[in-house]
Amino acid sequence: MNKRGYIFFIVLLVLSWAFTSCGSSQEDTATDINLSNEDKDCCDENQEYKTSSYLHNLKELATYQTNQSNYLIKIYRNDSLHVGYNDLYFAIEKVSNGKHVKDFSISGITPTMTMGSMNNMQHSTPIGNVAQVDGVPVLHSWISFLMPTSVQSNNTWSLSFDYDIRDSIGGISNQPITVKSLATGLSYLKSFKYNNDTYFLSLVNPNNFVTGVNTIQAYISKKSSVITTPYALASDKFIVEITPTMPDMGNHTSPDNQALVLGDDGIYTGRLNLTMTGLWNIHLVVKTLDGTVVAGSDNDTSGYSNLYWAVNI
Amino acid sequence: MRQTVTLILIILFGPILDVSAQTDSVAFHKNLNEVIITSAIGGSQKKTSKGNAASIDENLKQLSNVNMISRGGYAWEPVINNMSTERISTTIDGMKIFYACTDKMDPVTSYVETDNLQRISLNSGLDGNPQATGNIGGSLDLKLRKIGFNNTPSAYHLLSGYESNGNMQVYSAGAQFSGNKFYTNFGVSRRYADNYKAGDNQTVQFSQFHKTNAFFNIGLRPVDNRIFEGTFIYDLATDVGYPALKMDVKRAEGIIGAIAYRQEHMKGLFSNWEIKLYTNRIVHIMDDTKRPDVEIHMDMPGRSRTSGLYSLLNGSHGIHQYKVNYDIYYNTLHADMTMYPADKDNPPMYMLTWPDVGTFNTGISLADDILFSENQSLHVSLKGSYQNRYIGSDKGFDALSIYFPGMSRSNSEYLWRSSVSYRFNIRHLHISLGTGYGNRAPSVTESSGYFLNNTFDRYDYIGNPHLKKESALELNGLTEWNNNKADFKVEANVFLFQNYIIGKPDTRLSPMTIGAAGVKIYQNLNNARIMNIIITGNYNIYDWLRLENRFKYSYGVESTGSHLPLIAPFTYNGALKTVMDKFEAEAAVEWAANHSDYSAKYGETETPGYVVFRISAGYHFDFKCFSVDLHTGIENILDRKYTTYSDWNHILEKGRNIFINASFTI
Repeated sequence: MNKRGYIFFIVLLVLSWAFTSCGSSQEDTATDINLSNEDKDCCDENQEYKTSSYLHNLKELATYQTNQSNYLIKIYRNDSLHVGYNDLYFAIEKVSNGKHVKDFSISGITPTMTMGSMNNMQHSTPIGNVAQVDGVPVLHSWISFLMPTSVQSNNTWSLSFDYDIRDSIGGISNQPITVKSLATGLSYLKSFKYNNDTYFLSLVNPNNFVTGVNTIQAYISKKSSVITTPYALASDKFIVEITPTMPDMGNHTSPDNQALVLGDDGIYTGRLNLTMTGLWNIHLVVKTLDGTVVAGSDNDTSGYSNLYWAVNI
Repeated sequence: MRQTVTLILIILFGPILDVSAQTDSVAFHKNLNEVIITSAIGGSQKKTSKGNAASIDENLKQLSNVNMISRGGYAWEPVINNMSTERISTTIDGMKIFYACTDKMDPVTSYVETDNLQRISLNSGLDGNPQATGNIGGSLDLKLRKIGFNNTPSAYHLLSGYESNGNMQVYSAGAQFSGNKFYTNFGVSRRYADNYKAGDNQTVQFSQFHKTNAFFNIGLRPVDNRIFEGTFIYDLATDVGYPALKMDVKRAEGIIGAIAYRQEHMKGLFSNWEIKLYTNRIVHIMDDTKRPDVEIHMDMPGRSRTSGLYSLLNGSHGIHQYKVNYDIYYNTLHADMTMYPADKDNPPMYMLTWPDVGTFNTGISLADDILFSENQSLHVSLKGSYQNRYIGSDKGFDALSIYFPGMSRSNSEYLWRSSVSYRFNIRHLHISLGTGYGNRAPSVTESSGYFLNNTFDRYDYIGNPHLKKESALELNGLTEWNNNKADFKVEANVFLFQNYIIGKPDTRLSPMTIGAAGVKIYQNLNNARIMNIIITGNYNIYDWLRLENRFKYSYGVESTGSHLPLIAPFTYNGALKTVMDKFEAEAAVEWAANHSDYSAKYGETETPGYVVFRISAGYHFDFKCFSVDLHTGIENILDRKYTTYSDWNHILEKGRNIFINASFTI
């Protein structure tokens, strides 16, 4: 759908929603709207409006057709895919009426890096669980890419996953995706070794920080023994202490930052105070729950851990 | 409540009560300490020896309770009773105006020029002028030069002045027209200088300045006793160097405007009424591009906007002579800082240093002079005001919240001051005893400034939104003895502070400024005290020859016993003056003792004592159709290389300086 058509669609939706919701509220009782193309697999007008609005704030990454060509699987993102943490959103449109499908599942998300520079050696990267987005028929997951796509070195990323949409079950395999490198100096993904295993620290939404008090979130994933298997969340528990500094400001730091600790949802959450805009290095010290330092004990020239995320705000 | 409303109505709309009272026009309360701005030769009033070529700062220096903090050759910061900007009030003809630079590079006195003013009046301590707020140390009111009705029908002024040190030049031109129903006076001036030289021919880099000023006053009197007045001032300083600081000023612009209505010779409780509506805008832009050793290039603009109104009633009844004033103003302060990393790939670093702080203040002041007899009088003044402050910027509020979690965005306070003094005469002895009590709200810098680097103690300062009001008890006394040959005066005051506001280091916090010593947060000290003694002794050797002496001593300590910063050392000023009809001359000496009671705790270091001499002379020439006032003199005759306790970071004072200026009146 081109842009104008999309806007027209939204306007229609808004108008129809406005009329129907006004009518129903005036009559004080819910009126069933029987539209000719009602489909119980799909959203009603109200849900459709909410879904479209939700997805409108995102950018489309890719569209895939299911086997029988009766559904479109659309993947959305916040930004261009880049090294480090990226949110991914899955929504299904029914081809016959263009509406979003209510119940479906996505599984087996597998990003694969094929390194042309290393005899086509393959490996995967940390990924998140699939979860339902509140209130809309959209599924959320994330991938934290270890490295960028490189045309020069022939390093390519591909994506595979399985779907189960009502009567349609199948898989999308090895679809190419492009992952950008980060601007010089930035770093959203860090790794450390613990008990001979490799762990990855993925900083969630590194572009959303603002001057002031921020909630900082991260995931810790463990490298799979078979490295083409996506790296799932680590079952070990850690504490990640943070110290933000500004390398351009003589390593100025902020007070009252709070270490990231693991919550029930598998996400590590802490408090990050950023006193101004600019480049911030978030120095990390990873500890086990009993306080043993696992990573980040070596300091760099700033006097803080040489294990750090680097973000711009 | 109803009484309050009635009172406000009276103040706003003039007297509605027709109480006839006899007007007592005896001006008996002469506590005003003021400097007259004039080119005229002769007279015993307090004035500079440079005439109108003197800067505002040089004029302010004449006031005995005033010291000046200097950060370069321009825009000195006045200090009254050893208290600076936060503890004093400065108004321009009753108008509130606030500086726009977080580093105090632009005290509001820098936004006017000498030829804008008639005089500068100083009220010491808590007895402020009616519009003053927060004036624990004192209040300055810069009185504009309004030519008034029925003055010389028309006159034109030209001024040209030169100073050898720094090639300082000043030029001004003005005109005045006056009649029974109309007057106007206006003028333009330009003043500029290169780097000045300290003693021993040492050039003080970045001490240049350029200032242009234009002013316009108008008055209309359509009906007797009903007067409309208007004032407009535009002031622009560019390329101003601040040798004591790490950066200079590219542009400091002030626009000041007011309209007023006055009613005179009214019958009733009040004999005259003035209501004035005013607004002013200040934009201040710093510049570090000319400095060779900049750690990190930054932009630091600041903006101050104030609008307000005051309504002042003057009256007398029986032995009372009183003033009632209502005023209201709103000020917003914005300052931010953008720092550009040496690594050009990295994004600029931005912060709000004054987070769009709005201050609303409204208050009522009353003053009464009660003349019991020719030898006894009582002066009472009171002011109560309500103040609300609000942080307008989300970004600024969020940033400050890091340091003060859960802080409130807005706060309201009731502020007040009171002062009473009793004056009596015993033969040739005049004695005055007074006391005052009052408080002040923290300044915007003190309550919500964000990483303001103080180059004096090299600390970054963060404002504290939880500060309590600072209050002070003032005790003052004056004894004066005079006969027609000599006069001798001892003045003393003591200020006992509670919740004295000052920055305290917080070692937990990391500074922002590269090379800073640490971070200080403004805190309330339990108590502090400041004491000042001024002794003057003058002797008229002959009718035409007068010897003047002034000794000043001050002392300031905080609760811990540590000395407070910027407290003047013992100083002596002596002058031998000749005043004749058309000629005046002066030889003067200024001596300061070693500043040994310096405050190491607040970043001060010792300042050695010094002695400097100056001579000056003035002559009034009358020609057929014009007259000339000529002033000339030599300052720091011995070219002494020295610095005073109030020279920021001990920048050197001017070395030998020869000045000459001529003021033409046609």
